[in-house]
Amino acid sequence: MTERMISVVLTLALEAQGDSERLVAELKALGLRNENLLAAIGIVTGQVPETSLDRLRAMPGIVVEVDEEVSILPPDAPVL
Amino acid sequence: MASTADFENAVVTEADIKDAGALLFENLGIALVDVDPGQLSSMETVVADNESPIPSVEPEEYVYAMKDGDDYPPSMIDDLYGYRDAIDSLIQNLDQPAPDEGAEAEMGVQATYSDTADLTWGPRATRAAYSACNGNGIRVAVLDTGFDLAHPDFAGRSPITASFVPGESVQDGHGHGTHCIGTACGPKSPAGTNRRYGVATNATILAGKVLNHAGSGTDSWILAGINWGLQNNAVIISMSLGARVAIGQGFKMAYEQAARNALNANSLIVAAADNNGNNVPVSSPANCPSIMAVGALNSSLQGEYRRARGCGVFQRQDAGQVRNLERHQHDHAARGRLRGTVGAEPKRPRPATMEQVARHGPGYRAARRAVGRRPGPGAVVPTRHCSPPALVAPLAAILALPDRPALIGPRYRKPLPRRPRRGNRRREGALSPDQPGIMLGP
Repeated sequence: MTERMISVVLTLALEAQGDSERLVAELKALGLRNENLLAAIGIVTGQVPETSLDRLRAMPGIVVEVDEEVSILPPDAPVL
Repeated sequence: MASTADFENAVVTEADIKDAGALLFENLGIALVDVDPGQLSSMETVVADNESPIPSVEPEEYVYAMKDGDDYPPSMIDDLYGYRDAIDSLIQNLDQPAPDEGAEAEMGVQATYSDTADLTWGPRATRAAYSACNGNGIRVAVLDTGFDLAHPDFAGRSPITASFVPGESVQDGHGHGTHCIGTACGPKSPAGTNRRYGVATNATILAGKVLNHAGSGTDSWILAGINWGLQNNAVIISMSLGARVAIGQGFKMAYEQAARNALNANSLIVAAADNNGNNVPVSSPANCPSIMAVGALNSSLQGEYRRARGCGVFQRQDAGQVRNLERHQHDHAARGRLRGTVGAEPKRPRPATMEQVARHGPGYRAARRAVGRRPGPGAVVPTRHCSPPALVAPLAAILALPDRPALIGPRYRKPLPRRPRRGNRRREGALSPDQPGIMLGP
């Protein structure tokens, strides 16, 4: 059975941003996949196994948030 | 630990709690706790846990009365002027003068704006139509559903584009993105009608697709779009989108950090407050302290049902705007009518890209100056600096006094809270709910 993956947004504290490449390697060891390092804003996005979430949250210098959906109305919505 | 419930009439002074180490404000769900500086970062780690019952820990700060001649940092003075002018503007709008005749009245504040032969009411009300600036050389990034690259109104504009939606090109399959870009950067004389609807008519367009054809996206796509906008030197990053936020729910740290990085790079992120009703919180990411949240006014400069709670609001949109958008869609994309979602928001670049860039150079500080010093219907202030209407009059009275009483200083420049350094023994000394002196929310 494949493990459930959770899409996450990881905000790196300033101290962590200096060495973000190494940090990403560390995150990949925790199971981070499809990672995307957004260097201009100090953020990493990707998917992690649900079972890694606790360990991820315990890592210093990182704030873990769930990647959620944002939407506007569909193109055929009526004008109010 | 002391509680306000222990004191008669809930009147507590510092002396009363000197030895208690902590004070719980019963009715507020807030506790004041004395901690060593070293404990603060541990507390923040606890709070960063999504399941923590404590949503936030903040250092207690002193608030001072302001006196003339005090040496305040220019940023704070700017903020106060901006604050004052925005309030003046709101009061002015509450007390609408009767519309006058003639060219002067055309440029002044009017009770209600309407379309003319060559202008929709939006560029009139924002005074973009009378500005000597046109956004030339200014990069405006619009993160939305993409852009209709074949739209005749934008022939010859050479937009910079990118899609962050897997499997979809930047071509707009929805219509909202093209509408927003049109409102922000549409041409002076649109093909076919010559009736201007755009604000920064000559700005460089950066079209970032972060919402798919159905109008949905994810935080990660949007953040990738912001990152792209900054790497491409956008002065304005405009996002006419948002996710609902429940009452009491905080902002997302990722957007706040992105916005602070943007400010440091002299770029301003603007996002839609909400269109879902009067009694809902400002949506995410507009609820971040470092993002400028904007809502809608109609052509009479009145707030509409679309306005989110707590947003002072500032740009405007009504049927005229929607019609203009429909023209976009019908003429070209053959789309259905677009509901007036967040369409008020893209008009924001007028003060931020045109006036202020010409006068003060690009950047957030200059945007604040431009906004603050140009009171009128275009005044825009960040949500966190806005007051609900009930507070406007007392605040204005306070600001008019020569010796100003207490005002809480701006927060948006506050550095990110420090996290424990890498290599620290994390959680060491971390506070647990069982330890004395720690209060949990109700």
